[in-house]
Amino acid sequence: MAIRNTDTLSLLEKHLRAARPRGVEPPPGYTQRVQSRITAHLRRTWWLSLTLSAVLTMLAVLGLALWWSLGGPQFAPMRAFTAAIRALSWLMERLPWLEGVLLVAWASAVFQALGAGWWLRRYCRRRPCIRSFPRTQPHLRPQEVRQ
Amino acid sequence: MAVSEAQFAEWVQRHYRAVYRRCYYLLGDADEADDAAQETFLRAYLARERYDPARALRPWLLTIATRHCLDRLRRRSRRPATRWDDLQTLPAAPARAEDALVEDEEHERVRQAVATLPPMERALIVLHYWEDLPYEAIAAQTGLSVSAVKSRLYRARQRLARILEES
Repeated sequence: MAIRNTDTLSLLEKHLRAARPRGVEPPPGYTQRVQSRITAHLRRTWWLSLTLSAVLTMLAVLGLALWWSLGGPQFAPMRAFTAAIRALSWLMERLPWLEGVLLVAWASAVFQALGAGWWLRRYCRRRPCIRSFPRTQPHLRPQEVRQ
Repeated sequence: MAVSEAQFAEWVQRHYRAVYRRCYYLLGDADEADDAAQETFLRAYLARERYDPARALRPWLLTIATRHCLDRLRRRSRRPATRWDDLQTLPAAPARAEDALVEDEEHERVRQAVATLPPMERALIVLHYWEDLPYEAIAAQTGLSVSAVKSRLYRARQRLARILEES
């Protein structure tokens, strides 16, 4: 039904204005709640950045140790990669079923990664603390705000 | 602009009620409105360096609140019976008690109909009819153009009339 009748429209508008909820007040103690939320967020951010930098440092150290144990400046990654491919094709020549197994393993890994992503997304949506966590930048445009 | 902790506390003190009211109108749930209002102030705190003091603060905060509530409404699984649960409606005069009761039921029916609208249409109805904002302010706070606000408000009214007619 399209509202074409001016009376119907004005009646609807009158009802809408009259239905505005009245006496809406926040529960007391909101200043403290905002303060503790900000503190909790800053603490979480601090811990996350600390953990992230610790993990990255550890990975860098491990990478450096691995590179050093493989010969340091003499290590040639392409040579090692070619050797691995050659070993794999040598194995596949002798074991014809290996190709099928590798294909199934690859497909399974792809599906598992997709499933994990889907699950993580659902999980983060249900948890407001995690959901709001990465979104530190509010998507607003102050220059557009007009009274 | 550098905003001190004391200044920010004053922002909260002065504007929390308005932000909470906006969240409550949009979400229709007291607990969720409080959570959304806190989230609004957290985002404002994190973005306070980008706040332009030449512009009014309250519309800036309400823009953050509106967009955050719209996000929540979009994410929320469809709950057809969203309640404006703990309304403290103004007491009716004793002589008109029965009339007032009928009137309250009618208002509740309209609020339930508004709650079934899609998020953006719901926001437009709330901002236009409950907050009495002009089209330009609604456009700024929702991120739509003025003409889009007008056309979507028109569609929202049509849908609302259909819902009320069917209920």
